[in-house]
This record gives sequence, C-alpha cells and structure tokens, in this order.
Amino acid sequence: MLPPTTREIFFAFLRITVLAFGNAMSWVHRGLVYDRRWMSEEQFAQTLSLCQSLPGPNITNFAVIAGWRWRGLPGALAAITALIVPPTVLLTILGAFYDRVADVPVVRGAFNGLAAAAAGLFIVILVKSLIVCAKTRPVSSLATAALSCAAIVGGVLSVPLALVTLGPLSIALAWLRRPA
Amino acid sequence: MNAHTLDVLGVLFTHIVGLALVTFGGVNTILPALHNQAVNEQHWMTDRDFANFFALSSVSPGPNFLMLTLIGFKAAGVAGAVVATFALCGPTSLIALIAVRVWDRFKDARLRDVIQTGLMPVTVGFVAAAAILLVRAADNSLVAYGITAATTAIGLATRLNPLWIFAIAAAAGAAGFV
Repeated sequence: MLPPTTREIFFAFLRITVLAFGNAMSWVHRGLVYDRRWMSEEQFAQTLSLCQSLPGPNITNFAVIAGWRWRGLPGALAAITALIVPPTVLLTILGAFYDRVADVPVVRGAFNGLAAAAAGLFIVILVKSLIVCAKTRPVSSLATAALSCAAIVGGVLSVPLALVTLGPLSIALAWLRRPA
Repeated sequence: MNAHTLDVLGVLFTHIVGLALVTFGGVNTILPALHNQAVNEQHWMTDRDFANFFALSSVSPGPNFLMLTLIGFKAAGVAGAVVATFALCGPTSLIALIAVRVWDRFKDARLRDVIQTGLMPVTVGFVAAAAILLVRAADNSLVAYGITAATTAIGLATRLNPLWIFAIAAAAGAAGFV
C-alpha cells in the first residue's frame, strides 16, 4: 500500500486531536490502525514502545516518527502541526477567558466540580499504571513506586533528581530479576 | 515586550525544556515538578489555578499535556503559551527524529525492555505524587472529595464517557453544591 500523502497525514492527525479526549493515544490507534489501516497492530506497538523509551510526550514523538516514516520531514511536520497547533490556539483563548471569569461565583463553583472530577480521573490512570507495574516483581515495583512518590511529595528529591538516583537502582533491580 | 516578560519567557523555556528531557512515561510524570515551579517557586498561579488548568485541559480537545499552554499563558500571556508548548514538544520531537533513524537500523529490544520496565515503578511514583498534589489542590470540601472518589470508582468500574461525569460535576459546582 502507498504511504499516505502529507495532506492526508495532516487531516488524519487533525481529526485525532479534535476527538482526542482522555487517553489521546487510544485515538491515534483508532485513527491510524483501525480506520485508515496506515499501520499494522505490530507496527503500532513497536512505534509506541520506541516513543515510550524516548524523552518527551509520547503522542508528539509518535506523530513525528509516524509522519517521518511515511513522508520524511514534511510528513513529520504535517503530523505534529495538526496535532499541536489547533488545541494550542483553543487553549490560549480559553486561558484568556479564564483570567476574566475565574472569580465569578458560578464559574468558580463549576471549576470546583470539574477539578474534583478531573482529579478522580487522574487517580483512575494512576491505579491502572499501578496494576501494570505490579504485574512484574509486585513487591519491589510497588515499594519503588511508593519510595519515589514519598520522595517527591516530601520534597526530598525533585523529579529529575529522583529519575537519576532511583532510576538506575530500579533498572538494576529489573536487570537482576529479568526473565531468563 | 518588557524585560520582565522576557525574563519569565526565559525561565518558562529553560525549565520546560529541562523537564521535557526527563519525561519518560508520559507528561503526567512531570506534573509534580511543574506544580512546584509554577505555584511554589515562581508564583505564577495559585494551587487552585493549577487544579483548574488541569481540569480545563481535560475537557478540551487535544492531548491533556496542553495544560502547559495554560500555564504558559498565565505566566506570560500569548507568548508564554507558545513558548511553553514549543519547549515541551520541539526539542524532544527533534530527538525523536534522530532516534528513529538510528532505531530503524538497530532493533534489538532486550536492553530497552529492561530499562523501560526498570524505570516504570519510579515514574509511576511520580504520577502518584501528582495525584496527591492534584487532589490537595482540587478538593476543598467534603463534597469535592466525594466527587473525586465517585469519579475514581466510576472510571475504574465502568466505561462511561468521562464527559458525562464532567458535565454533572460542573453543574453541581455551578449550583453551589461543591
């Protein structure tokens, strides 16, 4: 099958970003694997795994890499532009409104509700990650997660410092206990 | 653009680029560091604003990490929004472009798997820290805690579209119940 054109890449990612709500990566999967068949399940899984081992947002890495493989630099630019620019414009406008109306009682009240619900959905993401985490070496994985959480909440370590100190320790543990 | 705004843009850019380079396992993992910088260190916003921005980006189209756009806007207006978004996505996209060319030649994944599974508990710990910060910032009443708990339970037990939960929670809040 011919790779999609730059224009097709742009509109595919535009559609993904407009629909993306909650876990945006599931919309990428749906758009590129199910609807358009531009990549196989296996290609999707491999690309996602590569993105997860690179720094930065997974979804922008995914867009850049997929676009690059199809159409080189123009493809990569088309994908990331469609993914990022429209919601950035929208959120900038919302940000401007927010500053004007944040103190209106009704708005403040609505945000009390929204923020509480958003925090709840964040806990859902956390619980799901903890379950994945506990599948291999449950005791040491959960203990490491608890330690890293406590170090951050207690202000003992910053995120980058925790990554370079606890990270190698945790990787060493994974190496020692790797499946043969 | 005055000198102060330029200073803020510089801080925004360097700080977010630095965090983007240590983002492994999703942008949720760097929320505690962002919170610390935006609320505690630079005083760009209150705890409340941080929780509200997270909520606003959750109910808007586009990837949720674009709450950084809102943080940038609050810190330094439109230029701040653009700088924050670019700082998060630009340099790491460049790295991804370089990495994919190496990767397509080198596909042995065993070492990468060990690094990934090894790093995961640490980064999940960051997400847990972010959850604690968000709950602290978002919930100022018993009803708010109740909404958070109910949302968690519904999210784990059902496949209900979260937009419904957001709509109900926002309506309850607007009516003055939260």
